[in-house]
Amino acid sequence: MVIAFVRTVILYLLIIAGLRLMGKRQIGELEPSDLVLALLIADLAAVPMQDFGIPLLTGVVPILTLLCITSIFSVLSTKSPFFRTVLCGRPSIIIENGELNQREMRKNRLTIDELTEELRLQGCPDPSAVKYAILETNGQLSVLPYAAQAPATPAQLGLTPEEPGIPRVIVSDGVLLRRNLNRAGRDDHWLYSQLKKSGLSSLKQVFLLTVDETGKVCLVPKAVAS
Amino acid sequence: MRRLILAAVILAAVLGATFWNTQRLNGLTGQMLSLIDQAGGQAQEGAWDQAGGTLEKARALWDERSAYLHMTLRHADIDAVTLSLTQLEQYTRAKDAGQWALCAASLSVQLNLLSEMEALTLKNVL
Repeated sequence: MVIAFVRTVILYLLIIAGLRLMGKRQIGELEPSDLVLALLIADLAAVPMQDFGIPLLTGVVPILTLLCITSIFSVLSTKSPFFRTVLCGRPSIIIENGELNQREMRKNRLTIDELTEELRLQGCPDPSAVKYAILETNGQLSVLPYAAQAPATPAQLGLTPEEPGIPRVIVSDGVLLRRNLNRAGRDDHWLYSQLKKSGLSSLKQVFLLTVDETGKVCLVPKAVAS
Repeated sequence: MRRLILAAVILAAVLGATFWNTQRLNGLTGQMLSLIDQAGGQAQEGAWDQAGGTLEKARALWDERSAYLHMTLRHADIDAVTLSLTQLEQYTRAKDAGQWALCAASLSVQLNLLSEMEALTLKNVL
């Protein structure tokens, strides 16, 4: 068991170091420590699950060890910026004032194809129109266009649109979610009046009914099976 | 901070438990080896009944820890020791000194390997 413990610690640190060296593009959407945890836990759990000749503890000890180390690392990384940098790295500026930083691209193993793909996905296909493109520690690219290239906001246009808030689902596939109805400050009387307006008589005929903070209702009747 | 302390305490407890497990296994295999050595001496002197009694003690000790062993060791390793113990009991009943010595040597190696496998050494870690 102690060998399992020590090996878990060594492999965990080794995989984190490996991922850090591979560059942020390999990570995806998780921080290195989270990714390592996700990669290892599934495998550790699968071995004693399939092989009845192995004690359950050989899976439990490494999993518990990993969870504790990840927990300690996550707390330490919130407390210490230095530790966070060691564990997760720093964001890399890939484009600054429309100019590509090739050194950072090489360092992060980011190819020009990957960069242009990311820029297209973010709606800024032209690198020269980008003020900053930052490769975050979780491998995602944040693109900040020049102010002149950015879409105008209602505030810039002097408009004050109404805040719709989050639409609450009141009826989902014929089932009334009473808690949401109460939170929306509505009652059964209001609900049935909405059904009546749409020519429906029963909740079972409703596929989706939502209401937002402005009182805007979205009612989708159930499709009649043919 | 509470989360950090809790995680550190659990981690320390897991590490402590693994060391305790190593110690406990060493103790058990040590006791088993000493009983087998004792039985070996008795068998050499031709005191087969006494050797049988000593082996019974070793068997009782092994069976007593069966649940613990199954929780911490590979079941195939436990089965190998159990099989060797059974064979040794058979050779004692048959008063077959040659086979007895061979089987005892094999059992001793198996028991040594069990405790070696859990020892915190560079060889094991790597």
